[in-house]
Amino acid sequence: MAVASKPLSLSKPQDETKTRTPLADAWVQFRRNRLAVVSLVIIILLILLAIGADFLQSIGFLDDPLYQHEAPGMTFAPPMTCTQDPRRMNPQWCFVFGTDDLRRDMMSRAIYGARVSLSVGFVGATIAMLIGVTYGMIAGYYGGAIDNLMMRFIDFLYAIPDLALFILLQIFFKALAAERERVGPFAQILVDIDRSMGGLFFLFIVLGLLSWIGIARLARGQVLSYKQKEFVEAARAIGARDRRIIFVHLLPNILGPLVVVGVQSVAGFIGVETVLSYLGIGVNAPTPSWGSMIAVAQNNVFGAYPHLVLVPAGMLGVTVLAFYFLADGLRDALDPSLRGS
Amino acid sequence: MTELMTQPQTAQKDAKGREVLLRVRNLKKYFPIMAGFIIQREVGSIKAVDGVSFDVYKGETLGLVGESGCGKSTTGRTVLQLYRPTAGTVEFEGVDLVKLKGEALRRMRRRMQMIFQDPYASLNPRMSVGRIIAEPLFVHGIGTPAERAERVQYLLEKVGLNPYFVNRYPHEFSGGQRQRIGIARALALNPSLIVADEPISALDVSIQAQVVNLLQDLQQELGLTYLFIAHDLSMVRHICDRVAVMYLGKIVELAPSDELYNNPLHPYTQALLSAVPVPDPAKERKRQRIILKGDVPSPANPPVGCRFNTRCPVAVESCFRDEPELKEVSPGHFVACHLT
Repeated sequence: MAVASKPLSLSKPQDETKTRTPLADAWVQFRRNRLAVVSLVIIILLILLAIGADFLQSIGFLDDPLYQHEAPGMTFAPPMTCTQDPRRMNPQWCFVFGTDDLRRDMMSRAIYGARVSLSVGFVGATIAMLIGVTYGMIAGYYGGAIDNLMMRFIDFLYAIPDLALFILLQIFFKALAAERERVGPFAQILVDIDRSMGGLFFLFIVLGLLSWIGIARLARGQVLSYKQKEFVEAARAIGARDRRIIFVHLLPNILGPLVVVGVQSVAGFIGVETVLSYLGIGVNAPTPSWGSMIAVAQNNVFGAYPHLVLVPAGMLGVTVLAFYFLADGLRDALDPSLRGS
Repeated sequence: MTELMTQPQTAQKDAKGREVLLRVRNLKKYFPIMAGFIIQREVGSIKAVDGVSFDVYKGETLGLVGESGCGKSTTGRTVLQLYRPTAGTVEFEGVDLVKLKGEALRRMRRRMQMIFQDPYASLNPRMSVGRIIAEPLFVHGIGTPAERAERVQYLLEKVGLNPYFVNRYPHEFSGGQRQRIGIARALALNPSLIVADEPISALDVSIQAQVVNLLQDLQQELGLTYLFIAHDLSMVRHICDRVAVMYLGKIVELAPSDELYNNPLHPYTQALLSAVPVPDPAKERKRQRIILKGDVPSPANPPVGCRFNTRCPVAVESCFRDEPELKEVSPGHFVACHLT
């Protein structure tokens, strides 16, 4: 209390540099976790690769992922083989990661596959966060009968086995797409959107359907614990409206754990997309996806050509782990109470 | 900022010509006890505040004391309409707050503020000190950002904090400093009434005096009226003009401070005061403690008759039958006891 005893000395406090916003504080904490930083770099690189894939193709670094090479005497080319393809303008091409059964370049397919995985992951997590946080905060903040009703609905959704529902719905949507001429105009529009996105649109809908329940429960719990705090009561006492209390006082305080779970869920969505594509009910056939690449490996003799499974599985593993480690680092950085553990 | 200075001219005077700022009549707050799966029903209620009446005069400090769970904090929060009362009226500056809703009540909040008990929980950890103190002004749309910043500087100085702290966050401060921030926030709108809910009980003893003196200085300077909730009896005597003693949701005795401390009439007040050490060795040696037996009964099911009858050392038969009313036994001294 040395400061308070000399209240009106207007000299600048000595440790001015120590003042940090909570966000800057979290960043300093995050940087200490090497694994999380490496994961963040890997994820950023993956995103850049996925976004810049077309550019990389235009400068000749990547190949068209759908192009089936026609080189004599070549199926399942192992990594680091170079061939001539007489049909092309620039016939010399080196397969860094080899080719698949249809003589398509594995490296190009793996990188284009990151587009599918990352967009499914991020879109899924965004839908989950938007619906989940809104739903959970409404239930937690207003409480009472509203809360009771909303949470019983979540309990009902929780009882549905999610993978089974995903498979069922994907099969339904695939059938819808196949029967495009015989469905109504609204369904036709949906099918057209889905086709233009290579089958991603229906995947987003299916994954978004149940994705938010975990986050909604977490958000509700966080709101319940924070709305009891005196600073929320203080906000009410000064005359703040509900909207301000929710967005200014509750949301910033509960966001930390929600972001952590959101980042973790990205890895989960990538996993589910891989499973569905592996089963052949994910993205539409020629669109490259890690799951469908693994399925190709399974259909063929991957004992002799291990690159068929190693390339997509390696990409998948690195990506999923990176998101988990990133979430771990974020948890330590955003939750001060866990510091030092 | 001039609109901060205007006072609604709806003064009410009592018989002796004192201006009544706050008139609470028969205030009740019951919290429902719910039970049942999916379909909840009310199976009872906690009678936290059960028929409390008092006046607070302009410029005075009314102390509200009592042991934990007697309903004193609930009374404070119900007066401010942070909890909506089950019954009763709260007339503040001539307006019955209980009848106000939504926007009208929100506008009334400019005139009455609260200081909280726990300085660690009452400040949003994600907001800088400047934003915390400016929030009441922002919420009520008062002043431009520059004017608000100026007022924050003024308030920080007023409560004895360095104005350079505006961009800091609550976790960088000690408990006493945080409580000063809370006081600055309460003062931001220039309220006439401040409900202080045990503002010092979470602080170190050395800091308590500082904060109490700050509150007193501010009262003199700004003409504030305090409803001061506390359980530290010697501190209450120091700061309060009048004191109300609560027991199990009711006021049992209300009197000017000196009168209450020198001439306590209710057996519960006598027991409470007998627990206060006297800073005089000769008197302290003669002090006889009245030790109450048993615990406070459950406020869900208070005893019939006088609420204190389960622990009262002098209870007679009528105490178990009739509930005593708060009677004025000498000018300004009210007691709810059959034996006075």
